[in-house]
Amino acid sequence: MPQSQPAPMPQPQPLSQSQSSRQPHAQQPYAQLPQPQYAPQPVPPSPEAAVSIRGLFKRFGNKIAVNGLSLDIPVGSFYGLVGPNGAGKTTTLNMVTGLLVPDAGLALILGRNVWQDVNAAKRSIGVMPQPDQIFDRLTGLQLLVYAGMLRGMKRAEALSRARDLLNAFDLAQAANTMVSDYSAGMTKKICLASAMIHSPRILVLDEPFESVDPVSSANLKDILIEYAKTGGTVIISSHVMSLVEKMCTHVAVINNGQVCAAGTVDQVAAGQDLEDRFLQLVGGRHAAARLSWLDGGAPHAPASAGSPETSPTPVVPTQAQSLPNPVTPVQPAQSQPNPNETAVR
Amino acid sequence: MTTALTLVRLRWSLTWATLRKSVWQTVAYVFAMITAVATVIITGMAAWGAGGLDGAGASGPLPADYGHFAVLRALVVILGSLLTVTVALIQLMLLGDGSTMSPRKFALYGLPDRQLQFGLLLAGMSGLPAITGMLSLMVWTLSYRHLGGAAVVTSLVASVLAVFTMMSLSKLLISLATTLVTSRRGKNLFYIVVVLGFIALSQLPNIMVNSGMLEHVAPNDRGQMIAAFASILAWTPFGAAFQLPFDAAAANGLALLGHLAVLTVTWVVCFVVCTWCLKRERLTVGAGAKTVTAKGIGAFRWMPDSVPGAVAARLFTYLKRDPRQGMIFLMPILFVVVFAFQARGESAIVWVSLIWTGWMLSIAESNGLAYDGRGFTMEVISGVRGLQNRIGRVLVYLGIAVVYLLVLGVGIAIFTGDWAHPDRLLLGILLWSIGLAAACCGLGLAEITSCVFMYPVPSPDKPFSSPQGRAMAQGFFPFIYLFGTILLLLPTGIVAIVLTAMDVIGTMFWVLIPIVLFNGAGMLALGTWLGGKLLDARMLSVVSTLDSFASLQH
Repeated sequence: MPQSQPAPMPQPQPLSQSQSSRQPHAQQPYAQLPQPQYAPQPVPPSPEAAVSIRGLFKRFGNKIAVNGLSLDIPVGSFYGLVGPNGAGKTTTLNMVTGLLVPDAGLALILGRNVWQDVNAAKRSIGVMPQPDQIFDRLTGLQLLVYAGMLRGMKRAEALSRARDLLNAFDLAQAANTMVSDYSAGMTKKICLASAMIHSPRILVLDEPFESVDPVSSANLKDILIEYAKTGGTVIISSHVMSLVEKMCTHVAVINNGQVCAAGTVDQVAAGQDLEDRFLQLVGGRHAAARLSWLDGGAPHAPASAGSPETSPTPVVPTQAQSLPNPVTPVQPAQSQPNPNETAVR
Repeated sequence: MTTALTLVRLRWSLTWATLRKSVWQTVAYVFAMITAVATVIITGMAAWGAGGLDGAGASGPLPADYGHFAVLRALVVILGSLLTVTVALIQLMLLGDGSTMSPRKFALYGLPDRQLQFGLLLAGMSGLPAITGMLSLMVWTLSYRHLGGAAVVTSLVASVLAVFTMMSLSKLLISLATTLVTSRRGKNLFYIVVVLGFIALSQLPNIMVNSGMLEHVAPNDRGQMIAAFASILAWTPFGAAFQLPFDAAAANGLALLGHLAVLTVTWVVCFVVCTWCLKRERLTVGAGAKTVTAKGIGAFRWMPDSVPGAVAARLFTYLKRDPRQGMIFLMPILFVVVFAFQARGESAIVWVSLIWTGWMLSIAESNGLAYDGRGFTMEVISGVRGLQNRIGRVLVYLGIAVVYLLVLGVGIAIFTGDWAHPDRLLLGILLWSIGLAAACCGLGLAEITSCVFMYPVPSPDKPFSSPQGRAMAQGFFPFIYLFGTILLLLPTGIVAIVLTAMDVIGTMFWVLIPIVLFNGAGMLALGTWLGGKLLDARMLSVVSTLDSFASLQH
């Protein structure tokens, strides 16, 4: 079971030459970029996992963004990474997907060390680009064909899959429209499609449903769930706890560059609502700061806590009244505990 | 007035904040200040010298309607007018709608349009370029030292008025350009027309002198023409401010008031039109946007079915839709026209324009990744190798260079009639080959410099905008490409020197054709390979640099 207080992670240590040569699963020596140092960890990395991270460390100036983070993501899981802003989620994902060189640590993708052959690792996964990380002066169809051909696919196959994806993502009508003329939601969908065109074994998605309308979002979720059922691994980073709770089989809560809790959604939630559990783990909640000058204009507004005449006693938020829901609530996806699951705390 | 002063304070606060944040910005700013001080000093020295011209009028070719300072008056009014036009156009092309003090940034605050426009105008007047301009023109008063106290005092006041007029005209052009040209295609076209128009305008004096157009005009008539031209300009917004000291010197109060009226009308019209543009833009934002469609997959259908093919197809598609780079491909035609005007029947001079064409063709590619912007991240995410990227880009640029030079070469051979003269045609082919080799060397070098010497470029949606920190790097980095390309042609140059030393260049010059082509091909292959290696090593740094550039464009 995950613990609320994580065990202290071992800090990265400089390695001697002989140590660094004993890196697990070393591939062909294709070292274009500086290799991060890796100190042996108490729990060795798992080559069976879709993603296995050990002692990942990154510092920007004086700020430690990721502090010796370790995590295993099982194959076939729908894995949510959650955490407050600045927790280190995106930095971690960037280091795992070969977009940021770690200062120390190890990241394996399907048993292969990412930083031994970073281009091969990139081709085996599908990273969803952000809307401003695409060539938006191509049409939707061109962008998908481009994304496919960049991954080494033949033109005919890329074109055929691009048409399938456009249909699946309700973008067929906009296939010949320049992406810069798409709405925010359409752009998000084409970004997601471009990450899937080469049928990767692992999909890495950063806030995939942001700005996407509920209908398209539901359709996309179906596609992703189907993909995970066929053995694909989906890793999403999100702030929307209800989405993680509904869709993900596993979740890791990241705070201050470390994993607070990880495991199946049920394990991490520990019998509570996931959002409440999340707030408990990361902390930071405080009573509403009442500003005396922030006044909605209603007559007889109660005197504020900020004024000198009143007591500074914080007001305890009351339980929100829920409205009757005319629609049958959607059942959350069943969490599938994975036998290979490793809860890293 | 409070709003206007707040905007002035904001401008300087932003400048200081930028300087505190970046050492390079501080270095660039110090460099700009040194340049500004040097400009003022040089202007002062020139003014002292120009003050000596005042005796030339009596015996010179100019009519003496301004007494013995006719030469000075004609020069100042004509050059001042040119300066005003140039400042306005350069502001439009290079500096544009400053990314920090753009009116769009203030849309949320509900400021009245007039107050906002006045504030932005005042903020512009308080900037380093405007202050340098005012100080320089004030120092220029030294040249009027013999014209009397009234001229000197008027000149000091006119300095401020002249800069205010330049600022008003610049703001007017930028407002009209950003407000009226709303469609993407319209913006592209407008940008190309403005830049080409400016280049043509700047080449006009050169063409007039070298083409012999003025040879048929008698010297005395030339003087009359120049004086009349200055008088016309003095009644336009461009030259009126520069005429004021001479009105004061001639004690012509009526003319002084008339010229002041021209300036006042100009400011009012500029202000009213700018305010109208602000209002129109605020009320119609997003309404003019039309979606652009293109059937099929375009260049992706016929480019090689490979990773470099995908890179090439994307680049080719972008070049067609990007006004910032598309303009480069219109320049060669301009070169040929300019050289043809100056050729005076010497066909070799027209052929030389092809060397310029080849030399300049890859200048945008020397900063090519910056033009790609954050879209380049797609290639990084997909695991594209550096060499694959470089080959894709070379495919496009080499293809364009070969086709372009072939078409121009055939055109020149027909136009000059050299196709019927084997000797002249052989010389033409040599010059054509040097042009192609220059294109290859330039492209090879560009594939290296674009990974290292990057500088911010405007967003394709706002080609007139100016990202911070652009001017410094843009002024310096292209020279690496330009001079480097010449150096890469050195092997051919050495052979040419040897042939000259042996005194056989006249008969054996054709030997240079295969040599220069081999020289170009070799440098292109080397540059592509080295560029690929460099890109592999710097891939993530390039992405990080592009991210920082993108943040400057908003």
